[in-house]
Amino acid sequence: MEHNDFLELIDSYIDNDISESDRVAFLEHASACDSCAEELRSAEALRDVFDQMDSSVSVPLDLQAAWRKSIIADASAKKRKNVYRVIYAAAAALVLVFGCTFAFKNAPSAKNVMNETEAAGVSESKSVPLYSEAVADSVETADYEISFAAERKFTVENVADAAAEVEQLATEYEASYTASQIDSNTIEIIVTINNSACEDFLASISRVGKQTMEVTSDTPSETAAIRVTLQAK
Amino acid sequence: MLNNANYNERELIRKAQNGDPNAFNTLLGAHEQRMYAVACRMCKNEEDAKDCLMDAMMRVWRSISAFKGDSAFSTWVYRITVNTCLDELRRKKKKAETSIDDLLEVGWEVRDSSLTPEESEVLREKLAFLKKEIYQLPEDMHAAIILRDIQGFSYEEISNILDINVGTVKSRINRARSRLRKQILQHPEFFDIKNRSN
Repeated sequence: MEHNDFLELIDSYIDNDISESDRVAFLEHASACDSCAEELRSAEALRDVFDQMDSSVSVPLDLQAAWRKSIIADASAKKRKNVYRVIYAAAAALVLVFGCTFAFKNAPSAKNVMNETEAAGVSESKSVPLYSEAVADSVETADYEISFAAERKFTVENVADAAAEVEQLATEYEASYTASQIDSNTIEIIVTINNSACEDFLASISRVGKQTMEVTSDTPSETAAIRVTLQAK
Repeated sequence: MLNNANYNERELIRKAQNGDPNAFNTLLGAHEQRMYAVACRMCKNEEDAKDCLMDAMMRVWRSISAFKGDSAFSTWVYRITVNTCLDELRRKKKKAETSIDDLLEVGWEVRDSSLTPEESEVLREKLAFLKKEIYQLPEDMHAAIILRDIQGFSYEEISNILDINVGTVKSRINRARSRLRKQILQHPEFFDIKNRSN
């Protein structure tokens, strides 16, 4: 075995991690080489001192307590931080909700816009494309069930012309009206009129076409609602 | 059959990762002595060793959710411990705070044995001498020799702890031992080299 080989194997020998054949060759070289023998003796002296060291070290009681306490304290601090995060997030969410609610409340409502639009002369839903907006002089949206003072149904030659005539008569009697197309052959007009003019109005519309239905009821209110249905022949 | 000790450790790790400090304290209680031993042998004084243990424990706690189980838990813990001590050594090196003559006694004691008082005293002096030499080694060799020759970790374990390959571990230990042997050979009578037989 060469000197360099010996030095390469010295750690394996000290660690007792050497093959039997290498161990024999290693020791044979040490017995023949003074410097390598000295190297081996110093390696063994080093190993012997370490082997006689007390490998265990007692942890002082105050240190044992201190690190445990610091971990528990850190865990509590983390928990508090998470709780605060949840609270802040909830508060932010509430501010957002209230802010949006407030903003929406103060914004012009769809219903108000609708009412203003209708007052400007635009018919309600189901309104009929048979006649122009200029002709349709409309009123409030009927979003509640109307109790009619009278109902009349007519079959007519021309639904659009008949509707225009009914609307004209309503204007003359200072009534308000709203018209809607039920189907391609039928228009319905709701007329709101002063009760005192109701009888005369009903008499005047009888000429628009052939009456097919007549319902009249007493209404105690000042205004009367009349439903006029015009159907093409 | 499940290894109960491993199962318990896995369960404690899981709980600790979920933020349970008591589970963490139980888990690390099994490692604190060895961690403190490493700290005492890496640091120059008792105060630094205690600070390193505190810091290492906190580092383990704060990063435990990152432990994926790729290595043994103990290996991961000692890695953090060694790195904490190396950080402290580097910091103190810059400040040159502790003299080599005032090194820590704790962790460098002779094991109770059947030695006579005189023999024990001689052994203590040899240990004190080697301790000084070890503290003057470059930090990579210092850590390697502590972990191998004093803490008794295997080369593979040291490789995982220091996050270097086994060849590098062997190289560092070889160079550290070679330096220490050189010092011993400069004091042959003190170490009684001449009278030793192979």
